[in-house]
Amino acid sequence: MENSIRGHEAQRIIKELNVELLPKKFGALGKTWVVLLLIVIANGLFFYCQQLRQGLCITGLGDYVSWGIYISNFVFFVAASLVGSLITAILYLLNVKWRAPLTRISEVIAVAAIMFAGLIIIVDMGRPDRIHHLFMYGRIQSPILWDIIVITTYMTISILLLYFPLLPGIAFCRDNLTNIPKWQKKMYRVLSLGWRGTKDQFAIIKKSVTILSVLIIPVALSIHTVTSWLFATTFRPGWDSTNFGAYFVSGAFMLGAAAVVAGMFVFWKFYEGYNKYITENHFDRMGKLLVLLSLVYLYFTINEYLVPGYKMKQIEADHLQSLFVGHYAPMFWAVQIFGMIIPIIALLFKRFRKPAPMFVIALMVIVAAWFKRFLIVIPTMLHPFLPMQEVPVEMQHYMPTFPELSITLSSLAAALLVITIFVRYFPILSIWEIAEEKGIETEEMEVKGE
Amino acid sequence: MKTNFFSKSILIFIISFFSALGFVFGNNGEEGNAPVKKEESEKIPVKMSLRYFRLANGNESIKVSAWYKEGKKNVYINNAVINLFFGGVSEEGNIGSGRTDEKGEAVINLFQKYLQIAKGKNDLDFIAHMDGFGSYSEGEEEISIKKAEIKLTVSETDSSVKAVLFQVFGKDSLVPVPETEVKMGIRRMFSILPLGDPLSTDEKGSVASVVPCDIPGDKEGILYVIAKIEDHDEFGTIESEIPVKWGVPVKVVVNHNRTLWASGRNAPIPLVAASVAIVFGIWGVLLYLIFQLFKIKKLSKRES
Repeated sequence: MENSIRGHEAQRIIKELNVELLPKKFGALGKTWVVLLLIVIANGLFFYCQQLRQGLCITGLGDYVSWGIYISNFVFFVAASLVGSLITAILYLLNVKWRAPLTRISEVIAVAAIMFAGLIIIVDMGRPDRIHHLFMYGRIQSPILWDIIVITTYMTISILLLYFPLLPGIAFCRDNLTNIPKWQKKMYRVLSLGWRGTKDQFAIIKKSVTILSVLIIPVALSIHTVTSWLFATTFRPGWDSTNFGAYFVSGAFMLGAAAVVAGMFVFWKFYEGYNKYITENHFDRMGKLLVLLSLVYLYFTINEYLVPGYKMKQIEADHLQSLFVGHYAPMFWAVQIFGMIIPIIALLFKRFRKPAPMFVIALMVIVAAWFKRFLIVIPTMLHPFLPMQEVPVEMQHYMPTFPELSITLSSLAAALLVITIFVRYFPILSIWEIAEEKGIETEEMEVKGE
Repeated sequence: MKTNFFSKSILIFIISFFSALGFVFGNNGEEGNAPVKKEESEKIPVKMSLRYFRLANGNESIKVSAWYKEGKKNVYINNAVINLFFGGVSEEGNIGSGRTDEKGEAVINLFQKYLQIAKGKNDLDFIAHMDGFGSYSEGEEEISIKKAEIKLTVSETDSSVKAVLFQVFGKDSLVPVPETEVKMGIRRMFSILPLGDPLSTDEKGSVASVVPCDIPGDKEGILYVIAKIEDHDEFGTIESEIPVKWGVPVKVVVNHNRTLWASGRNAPIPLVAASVAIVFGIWGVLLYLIFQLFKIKKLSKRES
């Protein structure tokens, strides 16, 4: 490597990185955040216990809308999980250097999101005790079985992609964190696999990360394409589209990029010294990336609504009218304006690609993305192609109940808690990758003696 | 400067977000398409109508429609809460409620409470009440239904079904109803296949229809013949059905081919082969990578 830093200077930089980037105890703000999340989770767990006892009758689901916010939340989680493949894999394979401080943020978001995508599906089941029936009686022809296979595979890849590059970080924690409880020391010792940072070990990491980066791209595309096929392979207005796979994937990349921006901002703003590594330049580049991804998503969105809107077949017309001018019009237009139009226009200007406005825009995109999934799932369910007879009028509307909202919110809070716990115990910025980006050879990071 | 801009941005976001949420959830509330609130005197007078249904399976319901006049046009009221009473407007008489849809209609099924109150009664008086909301005044409408029954009998000799319409008096006294239009038909999946034009009952209250023998039935050839009177001023809409064995039995074709729509055991071989190859291929690589973790551990031990 040209201009490589060695010896005393390299050790000084590594020491400095260790001091600044090793996990720290939470302050008052961090503790309040954890308590808040725990309250939301406890509330959700209470209602989930009620749901286990009484069944799905405590939700707003019925004969018409049998997929409610649990499923739209599932699609949201799957979409958010795709960010791992975007930042870690695609940018890695394209040899984009500035991605180094963002990889772990994106991977931990991906792992948390995919974990809760799997769990929220179980929550949506009226009889979760029969989950093994999926494997015993599942049909390989059904996209539902493909979804289970691909989610499990993607979760494993994401965990490995998080874990491999984390090994040196865990070893840094093992060797440098003092004044920590015994269990924490033991955890670092077990998880670090006795890491010594030898050339061979780094070679294994680099080879494994390259393999995973190649592997995760088709699996990531599959996971969201298969999720879209859960909808597109059923004959319903709004879902009966050949475009759905690409539409879902593009939306997921956009949401994922926004989630990373939100995460970046938190560390940039609240973690002392992190703004040296996550710089305004990163926000600027992520802003440009977000515009690009938003434009691609806008293209697919126009396709999705313009073509059936132009033909206006009767049942499609009822569905589209409910979105454009009917019951769901305020939500539909709010999502398009706040979640796509404003972000695209604003991010074209450099002044909006600064950390604070980027954070606000990212939150807008994330919130709008959640409601977008609601709009994909629920209005279509209210307009079935085949008429249903003798259905009480109250079943022809859908409004999530308080228990349903509580359980959904708790899943979101739990995903955030997983990220929070990770940040508390592991370095969120990859110390060795940043060191390497600075020109330090991996040999300099070898642990010398015990 | 940075903090200032940040605070402003957060403020704008919060305002935007909550306005959007207001839109979203505001639209689901009681006053779905209601114009703004007005003084009592300016409120729009509401019109209502009630229809009574008793299906062949015995389920009874009342369909309530609510609308107002705008010039010559009827404008249907969406999201209005309708309370249904039996016998009179009272808490004891409240037998159900519903909410009108985009067509201004609410179907209220008559369940347990109604069945208890109406037991043994032949004159059924229903009152629907709509609370005033937004600029709509409150509305009320009633309907009186006399209990009637359609009895069906099968004549095997000429493959016909006879329907007799009776009005119920007293406990079980049945009086034939002449000169009333009865529709005969065969139940299909989503509608009724008419057996000719509607017929008018004779002085014995009866009509008869011959059932053609070439209509597909179920796998045993069973058809369900229906007799129905619709929107009758006194009896509402009532129907009755009877099974007959005059249909053409339909062969149920069980698909044993390997197709996408077959059972799991009959999945197409290429699909199974491709799925297994992909799953094993990817998991093979993942197992190799997990093995690499052990290798890292082994290297650590060797080095130390």
